[in-house]
Amino acid sequence: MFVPSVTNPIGDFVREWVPKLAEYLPAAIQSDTLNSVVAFLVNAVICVIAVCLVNIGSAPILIYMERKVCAHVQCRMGPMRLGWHGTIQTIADVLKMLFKEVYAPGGVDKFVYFLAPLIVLIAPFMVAALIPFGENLLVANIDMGIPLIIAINGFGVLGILLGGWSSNNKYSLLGALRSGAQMISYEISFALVLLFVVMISGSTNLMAITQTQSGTIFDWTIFRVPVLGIIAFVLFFISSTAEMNRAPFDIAEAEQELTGGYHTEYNGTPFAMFYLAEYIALVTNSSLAVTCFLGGFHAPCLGIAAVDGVLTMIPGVVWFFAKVFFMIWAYMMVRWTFVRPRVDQLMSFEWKFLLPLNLLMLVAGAAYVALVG
Amino acid sequence: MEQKNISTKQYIKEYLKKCVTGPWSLLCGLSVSLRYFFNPKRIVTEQYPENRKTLKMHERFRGRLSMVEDADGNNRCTACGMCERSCPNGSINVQATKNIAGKKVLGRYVYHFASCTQCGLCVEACPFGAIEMAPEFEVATTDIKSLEMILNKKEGQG
Amino acid sequence: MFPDLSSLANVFPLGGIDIAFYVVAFVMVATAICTVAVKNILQSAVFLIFSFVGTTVLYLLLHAEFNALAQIMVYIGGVVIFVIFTILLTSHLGEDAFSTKIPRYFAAFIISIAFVAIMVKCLLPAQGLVTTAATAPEGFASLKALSVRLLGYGADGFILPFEIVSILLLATLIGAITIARRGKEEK
Repeated sequence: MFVPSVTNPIGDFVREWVPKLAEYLPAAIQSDTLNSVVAFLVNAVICVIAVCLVNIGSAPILIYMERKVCAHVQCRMGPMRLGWHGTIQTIADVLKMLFKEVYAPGGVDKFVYFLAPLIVLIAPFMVAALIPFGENLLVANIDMGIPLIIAINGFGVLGILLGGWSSNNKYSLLGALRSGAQMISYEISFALVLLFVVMISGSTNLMAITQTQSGTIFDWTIFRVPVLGIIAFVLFFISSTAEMNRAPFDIAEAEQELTGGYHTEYNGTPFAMFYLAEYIALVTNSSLAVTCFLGGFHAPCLGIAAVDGVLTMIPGVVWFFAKVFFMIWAYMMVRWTFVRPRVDQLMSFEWKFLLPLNLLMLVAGAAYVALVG
Repeated sequence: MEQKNISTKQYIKEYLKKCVTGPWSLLCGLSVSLRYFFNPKRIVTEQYPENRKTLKMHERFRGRLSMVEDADGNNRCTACGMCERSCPNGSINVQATKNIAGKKVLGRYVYHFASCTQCGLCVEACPFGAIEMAPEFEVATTDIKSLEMILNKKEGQG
Repeated sequence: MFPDLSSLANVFPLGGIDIAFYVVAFVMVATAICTVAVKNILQSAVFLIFSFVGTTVLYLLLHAEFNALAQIMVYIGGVVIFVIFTILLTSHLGEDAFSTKIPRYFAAFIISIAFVAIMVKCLLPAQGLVTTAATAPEGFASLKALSVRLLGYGADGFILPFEIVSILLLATLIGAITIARRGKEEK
């Protein structure tokens, strides 16, 4: 009987221990089938918990960080009252949001209205399962990593469109349509930059992409390909910001014009889910940037033996999350600095600047691979 | 959007120029916010209830009206009534009296804080600089009667 | 007291995959029926998404990963979003104009039943349909094998059709731009 298995050391550990524990069961129900099924289920539960922990656990940290970064950019202090420097503030806010009454305004399509926040959460959760957080910390080591990420991103548009329409509100519908157009456009650049990475590293498996960047800091994709790597990184930064609907590309929300865009009518838990999706997308996109460009969980070795020895002592997960939080900080600085472009400016920027540049990058990358790599 | 009639060459020239100037201006903006981020001394927020003892209001803050008095408690008011006339709300009531020499001096300077908007017109109107806006701002009270106060401790000298 | 798990293996010879197939097939049929039965157009679009997701899972169960991803990219990321955009742009908010009526209920029902019957009748005798073990070699439909074949020059390569399709797509793009430009100039 075929039972799918999770291939990593933790999975092996579970597979080793489940038969040992099964010996204590009555002999009548002992079987290899049962053992493998139970081992698979235990592994699956571990994977689900791991993904949820990384995603949901990081959301309050990110909200706190966003408030603090925003405040310091604007010469303020941010939350200071609850806990040390306001650390518990976010938890209080999350609790408040969860205990609110879930309420749908009159005239909404209730089925679609409550389905939309769920659809929005699909993409970030699935992408988080593909990211190698460490040497062995990877939920799904599949060959189709990059294509799957490109494909899954379409669900985000879907959730926003459905949520905006079902709210029965002009502002929501406008925001949803605008952001739908925006995300569909920027998805193309996003995919093309990822394809550039695939071309340079020669694999669509995220683990393999990370492994090709092992060694010194100059083996990272961003530095390995002279000039092109940095341009590709900037392009990825821009298009992923647009993919996440974060300022300066927050056409979807646009508080000043649309009173919140597609989630105007949402409150309580459904709103919290939209909010959560936004912040998980921030984590996953930063992780993707780190995996594809900044060497994943590899330490930033400089090629000097003494320094490298110290740097590689620190486990890969720590390096990974250090890089991820650096990327998140960069996204936040950009958010609180730049102004939002008009809708037509946004579209012409994508179609007249980003897309041609991306195509040129692909050609240049192919030339680099053919001539040098 | 306005339609400009320009040649393709000019359009491309403008486009390429924007490709350079656009990112440059963005970097300038980013440098400003980076400078603010890494410089906590620029923070202007006051942690008010905690820093109550060290908090100093700035010079031009307009709080409650008070009288300028010297060390002996003498004021400079001549009871001319300029402040009373300048007050848009009628919050000031200067009650004059006569001293032994028969000269008109200040008897009681009644100030209705409840109706005062702290506009500061009375301070500007006073020809002798006898009144000022004190930097007090914690003026909440539970007793409405405490909002009617007599500002001068002594009668005016004239 | 406990169900005998070995008999389960006889009913579902491929184990988890078999069970998953029946579950997914049931969900797919149910959502497909919902797609045509629901009154609200947008809701039927949502059910269509679920049906497509079911197809994706079927492809995954057959180890055809690239087909599954293409299904998501083209049908969910492209077609359904296009459909939803069309619905949103052509209808008015808050009106009940979304609801549709299916005329000739009975005739439609008969036709679909007849179609299913014919399909089952034609497909069942086909050889190789009921084989249990996978006959294709490992990694037959993986990304690498697929792309090597798709861009191969040899006898089993598909480079020429691939290029012709890309030219067709380019022509479509240029046509779309031409139509859009003409509309603007007439204004």
